[in-house]
Amino acid sequence: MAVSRRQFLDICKNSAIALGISSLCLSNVEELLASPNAPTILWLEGTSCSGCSVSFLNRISTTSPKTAGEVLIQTVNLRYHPELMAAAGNTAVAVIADIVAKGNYILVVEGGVPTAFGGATCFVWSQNGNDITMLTAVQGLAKGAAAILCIGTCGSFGGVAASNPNPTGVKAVSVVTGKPTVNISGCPPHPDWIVWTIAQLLGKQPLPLDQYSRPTALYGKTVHRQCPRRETEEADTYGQDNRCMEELGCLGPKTYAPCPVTLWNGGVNWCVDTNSQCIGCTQPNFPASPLRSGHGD
Amino acid sequence: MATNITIDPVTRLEGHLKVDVVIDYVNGVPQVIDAKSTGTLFRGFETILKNRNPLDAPDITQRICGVCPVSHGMAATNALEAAGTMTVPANARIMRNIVLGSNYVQSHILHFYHLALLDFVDGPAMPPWQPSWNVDRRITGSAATALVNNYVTALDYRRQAHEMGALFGGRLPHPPSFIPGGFTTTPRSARITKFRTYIANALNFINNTYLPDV
Repeated sequence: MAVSRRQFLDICKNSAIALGISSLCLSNVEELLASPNAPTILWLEGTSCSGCSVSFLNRISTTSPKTAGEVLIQTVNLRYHPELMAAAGNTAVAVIADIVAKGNYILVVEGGVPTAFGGATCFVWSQNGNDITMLTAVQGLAKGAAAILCIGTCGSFGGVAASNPNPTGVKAVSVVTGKPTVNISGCPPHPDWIVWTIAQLLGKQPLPLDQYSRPTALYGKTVHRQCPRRETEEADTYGQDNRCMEELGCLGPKTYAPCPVTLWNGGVNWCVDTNSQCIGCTQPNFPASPLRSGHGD
Repeated sequence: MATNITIDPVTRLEGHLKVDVVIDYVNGVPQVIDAKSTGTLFRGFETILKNRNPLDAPDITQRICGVCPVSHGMAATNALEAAGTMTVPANARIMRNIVLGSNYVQSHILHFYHLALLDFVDGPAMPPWQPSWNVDRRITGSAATALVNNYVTALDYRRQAHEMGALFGGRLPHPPSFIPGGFTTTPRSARITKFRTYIANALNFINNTYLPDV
């Protein structure tokens, strides 16, 4: 465990290689993480399904530290996370107060923020007998955050809970806080995208963003442009291997994500390789109906 | 005199939960005399599904829960098939069950080791496992150390259960392969071979580690 910081650098470098990012500079990450002044991470969940957290746990690399477990134990200082933290109730709420008092934290938001009914469709904890809404919590915590990272399409753009007719008035984190966010969209996002972006933020590395505040290193190209099935014969129904899914309504041409390069779940598969369409889960309008608009059989 | 205890947030679960408990003396013995739990998140999935293309349902309903999405996707697919009186090819039925079963395994591992266990043992000496939740520390000493070690080991097997399901499902969580009337892909021999390796590893862990720990 003594070499954990070095190992964390390896994980970041391997992610960069896997993503085809050659210009990555991680020189400051090591110093930052070794410092007692390294930022803590405060992870909130709004209108989420926890799928982004579960996807993060699927992290796997070919060299040590290989897993999300090793990242958690040896590297990042994740002080508040609703699924993973041991504490609950007042003990958990006290952690938040302490993080705010100390400052220098990265606010991670998984899920969107309901605004209808005064935000009363999502309460995140009680404090002194008062139920605190996600809206109040995220607006308050955004003020002192060194950076705000939205993990998943819901926090980034609204996502599933915000889709028509948006019954609870869900909005993106940037909209309700008025603050810029870094958006790692995806429903869920790939663990490599999450780990790489956190490393960039911790290392205070340049992080060029697209018009939707997503890192261009990850979201710079469409799925279609990187797809091994591009310009192959078009599938006219499901179950046909190695054919382009465009006729079946594949959203790959309109969707910016590196899925054909990163693949999913340790590289075993991805949506198109299971003969599904890309359903466009990294895009701001996800999940606009119909998700599968093909005119095939 | 009655004591009111509120636990909010209840952590280590999918969703948002608050629990209120009232404890009082009954015949001189302290007892729980009232308790209520409140789910504190409402999203309105039923409303969101109205007026949508029916083919959206398996993808939308999976987003109810990122820990058990496949159960929701399967239920939506079954509902559409019942409405349309469709029959499902055997291979599609088997692959759906494999994806569902793989996710079921990851969900059980996650639940026991990563969600429930920290109620009973003290986790690693750092966040997010500290501060601990010291209300029912019924396992201590070497037994606790072994369980905490297996907490870390179990992260790997939980991940591999997802990889196992993604071989057919495409990705996990939220596989895109459940469609009414069938499944988007056919089983390929290379994937069946890989699946057999994964399931042998999973069975080894379940029989020799998980079941004794539970």
